[in-house]
Amino acid sequence: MDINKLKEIFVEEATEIIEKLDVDIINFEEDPEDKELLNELFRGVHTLKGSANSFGFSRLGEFVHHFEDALDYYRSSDEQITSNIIDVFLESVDIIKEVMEVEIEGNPDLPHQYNQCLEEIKTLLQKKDTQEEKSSPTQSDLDNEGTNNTDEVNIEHLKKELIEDESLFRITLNLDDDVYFRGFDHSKLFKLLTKEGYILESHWDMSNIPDIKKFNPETSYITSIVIYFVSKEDEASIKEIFEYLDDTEYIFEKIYTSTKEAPITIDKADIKFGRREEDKEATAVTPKKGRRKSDIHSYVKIDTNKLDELFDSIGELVIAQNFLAENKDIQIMKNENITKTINILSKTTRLIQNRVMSLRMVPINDTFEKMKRVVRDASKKVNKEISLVVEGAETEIDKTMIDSLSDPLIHIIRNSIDHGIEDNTQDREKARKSPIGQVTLRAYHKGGKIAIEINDDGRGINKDKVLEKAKERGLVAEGAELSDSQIFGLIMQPGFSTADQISDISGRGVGLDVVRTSIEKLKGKVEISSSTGKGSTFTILLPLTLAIIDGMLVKSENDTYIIPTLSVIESFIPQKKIVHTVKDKGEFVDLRGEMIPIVRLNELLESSENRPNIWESTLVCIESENGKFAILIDDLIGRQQVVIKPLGYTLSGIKEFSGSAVMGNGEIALILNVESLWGSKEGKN
Amino acid sequence: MTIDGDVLEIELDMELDDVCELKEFVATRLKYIEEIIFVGGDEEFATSSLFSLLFSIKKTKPSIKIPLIDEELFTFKNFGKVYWKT
Repeated sequence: MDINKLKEIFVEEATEIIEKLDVDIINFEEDPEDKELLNELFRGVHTLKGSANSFGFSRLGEFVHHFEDALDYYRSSDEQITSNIIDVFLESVDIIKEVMEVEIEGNPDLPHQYNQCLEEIKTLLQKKDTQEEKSSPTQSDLDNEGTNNTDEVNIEHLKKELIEDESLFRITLNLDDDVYFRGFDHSKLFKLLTKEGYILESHWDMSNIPDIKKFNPETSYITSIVIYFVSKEDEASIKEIFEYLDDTEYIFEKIYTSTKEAPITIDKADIKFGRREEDKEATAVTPKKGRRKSDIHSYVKIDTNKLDELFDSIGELVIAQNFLAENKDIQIMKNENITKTINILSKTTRLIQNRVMSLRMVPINDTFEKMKRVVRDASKKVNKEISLVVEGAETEIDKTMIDSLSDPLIHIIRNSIDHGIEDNTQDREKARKSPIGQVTLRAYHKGGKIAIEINDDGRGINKDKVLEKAKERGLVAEGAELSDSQIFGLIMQPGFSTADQISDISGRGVGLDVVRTSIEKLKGKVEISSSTGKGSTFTILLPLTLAIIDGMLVKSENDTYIIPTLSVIESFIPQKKIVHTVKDKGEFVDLRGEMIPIVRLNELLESSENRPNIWESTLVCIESENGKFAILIDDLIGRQQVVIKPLGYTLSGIKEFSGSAVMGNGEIALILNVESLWGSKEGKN
Repeated sequence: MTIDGDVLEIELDMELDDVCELKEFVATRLKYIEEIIFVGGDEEFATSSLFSLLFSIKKTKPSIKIPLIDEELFTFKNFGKVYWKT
């Protein structure tokens, strides 16, 4: 592998680590008792340091080294980590990000805050040195400790177990908690020791094991293990076993060497505790140096392009399978075995498709976690105390969308904090609200879409002000009557801002415009609702995936169309008595007391002017963002998973269609965009 | 790893991955498990994480019986006597 490829891998891994540092620090601030999180941070920084130095990124390595020292101090001390220390940690992560960039670019200049931040870290470390001076043990303390150990175990008793030339060793293991992550285990050391001699006793200090909620099997909580080991080998060869451990992780002491002759009548069966086997040819288990992630996690990183290719291939497989299932020549054969095999193929294809599909889906949690830092920074900057509530973080979303979601979320959150939440606590208290502003991030499924809500409990959007500003800028004609949602939508117009003062974090009128554009690129949309004095909610609606849908195939005027099944509530042939026509309003069906407007698909798509009786046609009831409506079609064909293919240049401008798909018989069917069907009908009316 | 009524039977030679699975398994069913015993050989252990997990389980549910750690001393055929300090 060439150096550039290695560098690419390093950058990718380092970026992941750095992103996680941010999240871990914020989470630690929320739960300062969670020392494991601090250990996690330390391990991340430790890895980053090693990798940076191995690539010659010495400036990054040096900075990270000091940061690691600071983390090491706090993880091993009981000192409280204040908000100011958290600030230094977060600032350090920012510097690490910037130094990483300059290292990659080969830029000789360091970020201007590099030295200042380094000084801040060193100041933290100075405190550590002072603390250590106060608490460092004296030699007599150490001697006493040794004596206590000796008291704990009857060494005299152990000595009796030895025969001629055997020596008794005491090995104290204080392995770091990341021992498993590094590919080591106490068991490996035990096994290696038994190659060189035999273990008499071991004393395990298990006093720091947490309860199961906090327990992570990949972290070692064992405080220490004292091993009493017997061997005829010399000290140097035994010490080789520990060469992959840090010097601070073990203490090796020779206690005694026996001169007692071995009894001639000793029976091998009586020898206890794994004495060295005669077979010296046995292969030694040699620990490998370095981190062996694969020992612990069974994850494989896959290039997303490869995943997309696999997904396309599965799409073709689905089409081929559908073709086979619908092939008339095969159906005529009426061969039970072939039918059975095709059914199995169909099930397996669906299974593969679902599994491949799930590879693309990731929980939105990581993105939400990153927003904690955004909220913290923004609230500090505008001096407003904000609490962030996260709901539905386990909601899964297509990986290709999640990457494009961070920026819009950041914009909206900053906007909510800067403009949404009241400027001071007095204003909030006057409005009978908690002095702490609340921003809620919520993700959930809604009618075949993913909805991501960003809600604030602030003052709400001032409709009159928005309208006035829009008129000033010529965005709205004088006297125009706009609905609430249309007025709120104006704030997403390019260059629109009602902020009287432009702040560092928002108010330039670019943010929300960028949000709208980014979300539209993902085939999604942003809805805004607001209530004066109560707050505002921005809802980002995104398609579940950009690749496959479960569709209901319908016939209208001999053409096949696909309706996304997640939008379908039910389909039925209505009785004549529940169909109504309202003058100037259109046709409706009374579905269990609810009047649902009817959309004639052939008329909407202008494919014919036929007007069949509604009670002789099929209605497919749809739930859309604009409400429920029923599509009138000629016939239902069936349900099928289809791979979405983009519309060509000619059709791409038709809003009634969201894509196309190749059917089993090779025909092309258009996928209906249910959101535009009702909207477009209204428009026509 | 098998569960026989309220007794969970596990092996000493569980690797770290197995311990991770065991933790997930036990965490959600702890109230139904009354005893954890070892089956198979007692020559050696594959990862110390298993012992930590057992102590963690014991800490969470002190009434659970785990003979391997309930006694202060356990003896491995290959690794000698083990004394637990909690």
